[in-house]
Amino acid sequence: MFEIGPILRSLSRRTTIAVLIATQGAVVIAILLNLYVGISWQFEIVNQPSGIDDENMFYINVLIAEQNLSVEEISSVVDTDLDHIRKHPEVVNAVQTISVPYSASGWNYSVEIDPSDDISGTPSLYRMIDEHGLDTMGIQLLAGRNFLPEEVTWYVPYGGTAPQLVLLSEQLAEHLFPDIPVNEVVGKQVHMTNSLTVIGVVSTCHGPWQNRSGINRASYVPYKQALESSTYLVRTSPGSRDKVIRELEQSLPNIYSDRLVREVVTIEEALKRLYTSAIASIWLLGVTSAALIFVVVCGLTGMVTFAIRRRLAHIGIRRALGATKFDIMRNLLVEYALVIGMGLVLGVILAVLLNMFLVANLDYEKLSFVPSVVVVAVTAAISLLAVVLPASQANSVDPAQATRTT
Amino acid sequence: MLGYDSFLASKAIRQHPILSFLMALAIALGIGTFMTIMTISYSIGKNPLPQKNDFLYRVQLDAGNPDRQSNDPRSRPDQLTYTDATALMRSTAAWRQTAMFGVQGVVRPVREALHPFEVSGRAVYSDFFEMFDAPFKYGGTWSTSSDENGEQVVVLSSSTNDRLFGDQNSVGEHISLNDELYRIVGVLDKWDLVPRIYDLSFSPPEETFLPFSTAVELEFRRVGSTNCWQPSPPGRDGFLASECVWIQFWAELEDSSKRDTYLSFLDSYAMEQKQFGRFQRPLNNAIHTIDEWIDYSREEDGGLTIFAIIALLFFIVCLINTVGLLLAKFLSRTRELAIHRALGASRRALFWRFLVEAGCIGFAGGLLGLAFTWLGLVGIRVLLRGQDGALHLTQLDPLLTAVTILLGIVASILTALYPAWRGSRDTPGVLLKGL
Repeated sequence: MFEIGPILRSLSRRTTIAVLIATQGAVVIAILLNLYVGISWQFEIVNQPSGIDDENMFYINVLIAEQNLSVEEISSVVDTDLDHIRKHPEVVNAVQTISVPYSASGWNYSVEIDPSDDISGTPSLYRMIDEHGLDTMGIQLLAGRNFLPEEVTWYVPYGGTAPQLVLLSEQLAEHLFPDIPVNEVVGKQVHMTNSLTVIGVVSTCHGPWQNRSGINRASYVPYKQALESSTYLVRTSPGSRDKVIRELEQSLPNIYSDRLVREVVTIEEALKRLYTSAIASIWLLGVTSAALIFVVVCGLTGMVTFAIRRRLAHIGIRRALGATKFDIMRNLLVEYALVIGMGLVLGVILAVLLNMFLVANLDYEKLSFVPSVVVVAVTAAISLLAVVLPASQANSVDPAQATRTT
Repeated sequence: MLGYDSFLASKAIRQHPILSFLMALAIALGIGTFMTIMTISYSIGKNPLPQKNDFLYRVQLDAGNPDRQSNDPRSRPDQLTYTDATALMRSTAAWRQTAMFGVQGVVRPVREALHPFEVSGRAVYSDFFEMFDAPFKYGGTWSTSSDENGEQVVVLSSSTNDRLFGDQNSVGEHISLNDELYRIVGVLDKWDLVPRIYDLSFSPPEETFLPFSTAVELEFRRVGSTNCWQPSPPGRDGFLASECVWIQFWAELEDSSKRDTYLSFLDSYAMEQKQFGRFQRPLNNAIHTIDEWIDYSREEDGGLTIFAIIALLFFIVCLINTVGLLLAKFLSRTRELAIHRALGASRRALFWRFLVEAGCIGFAGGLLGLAFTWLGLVGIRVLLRGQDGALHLTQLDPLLTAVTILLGIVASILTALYPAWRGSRDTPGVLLKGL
């Protein structure tokens, strides 16, 4: 039906162009499949759910310039600041904290159940919040309870009273206690620098860095910080974020004049800043893929055009002997489909090998089955389309003309 | 002869203008992508102080967590504890050495009613400037006695000096830093050190430099990472005595032959510490030249290597593509060639003719590829806007420009070799028979 036998025999007599087309197809598939996982991986990072109200939040960092304030003086400034911010009619809530989502700076702490065993602890994000923290960040309490105002103590340089209570994020609770439901984690003891009692389990809130596995593990302790540098995370009512920023920039220095507003960053800006390189990677990989496809289509069309032009006489003779245009077209398409098909099969093998190398040496993502099949299918379709144009051109040649010369 | 070859080449190119253009475009896209990625990769790994490479060493001591038994050499911390950094500073095993950490301070301008402003700073020892070739405009570094006594002296960057003293020689003047007076002993000239090799940051060098012991004594706010594998005892002194690592350490040796001696000195220091119950892991200390340190620190971030592999493969595809196109193009001209052969042109002459034609296309592809590289770098610069070092990473220097064009020519000639040989091989008799 498809005359595969004769086509293969004729291919075996003119191998060079076919080998080039197949090799090119193979390398292209090897690249495209691996590019695809790279792109989707970066997309996954950028599209991680934040768990917070991105559009209506910002953080402001202020620094007390005066060096010799006592802990009591600093803590009273912080309390006045918080009071002032929370009283603003358009502020929903605010908290002084560290490890602000997307801010690219924060603390990690190792959490473990039993400090005496040799198993090292689980690195987890460390946040200090008071009783307003969960509401400000929009974190839900999945089990247990929030901190009470009287449980919040002051963190001072090089320590302070160690906290006794801790809230764990869902992911950290599940990781530490894989065998029990989250509501039973409440009341358990975990160990950081000292022993802490878990009083609640809370929903995820994005960490300060790009998300890879494990960064959603977080612990929250009841601390306010009596430090010269202080970061307030603020959530405003919808639409009034920029107005609140302007007003706080004016009014905060009035509470304590000898200080600098170091930075005011909206969560949207922080997000954009943090993902700059991921987004640049997506562009780079995307443009590379597009350029690759373009080059391949051009090359394929060119090679096929020339290859068919050499065979115009054959085509003319076949047409003269009664082959229809459809026959010729089918014949050419089957021929190139075979060549391209061989290339693609080789390409998939190459892609898997390349991927194995990347995964083993460079911590790359693994190929996934369904998208790979789609990429191969799309490449095959585009390649065949690139063959159709020169083939139909060859077909339109008058058989009498084609057989006369060469 | 070359003139005639070029004439025929240009005729052949004009015969198939679109296809010739597409071939040049394919080479150009390949070169453009490859060189864009290579430029970034090259700039990231570029050592800004190549003259110091045989002398400067980053020091790593493995005072890590004994519970985490791992044979991975990378399990040792990058930074040092205060205990170890100061102990090494007391030794004389290295020719020059400096422990260091990043700080922040607030400057209160005395002149006029300027607002206080924040400056970045680095706490270093007096040898730092000599070690990292920091250029002085006025004055110089502080004395070793300033290091020992924790004196309040400071070296300003040229921009900080401009800001406070309007480019005057300010040596001997005082500034108020974190509410203490510091005597200015030196002002740096413009200092381009990208990346800042001592901490591999792409930010410009700090605005102020002050003695390490002063910064510790006056409890400057630290910038940079602090890693502790066990809780630090309470208070400032507890922190200094703790196993937390937060100090970078660099040593300069007279020449690279002293390298082994210095490493064995570090090992013997570690063995000595083992007697006090510290350094409980197997010996795993290391020193790295600048080049080695850049490689070591970048190894964890495999992103660029992946890009480089992909760019290389892309380039290979473009080359295969060009081979195929040239082959097809040459083979389709058999009739014309047969006539040339029959009229007396040698195989060699035909071979050369093909090479000249391919070389022209390749040169055009190289130039266009240079344009694509430039475009790619501009694009990346736009995407990375606001990131430190974005400009530095996307700089096309003369060397890279030459490499790009050369790559175009070499690639096109290499790819033309086989098609030219095939094209010139056919015997004229067989070909002419069809006429």
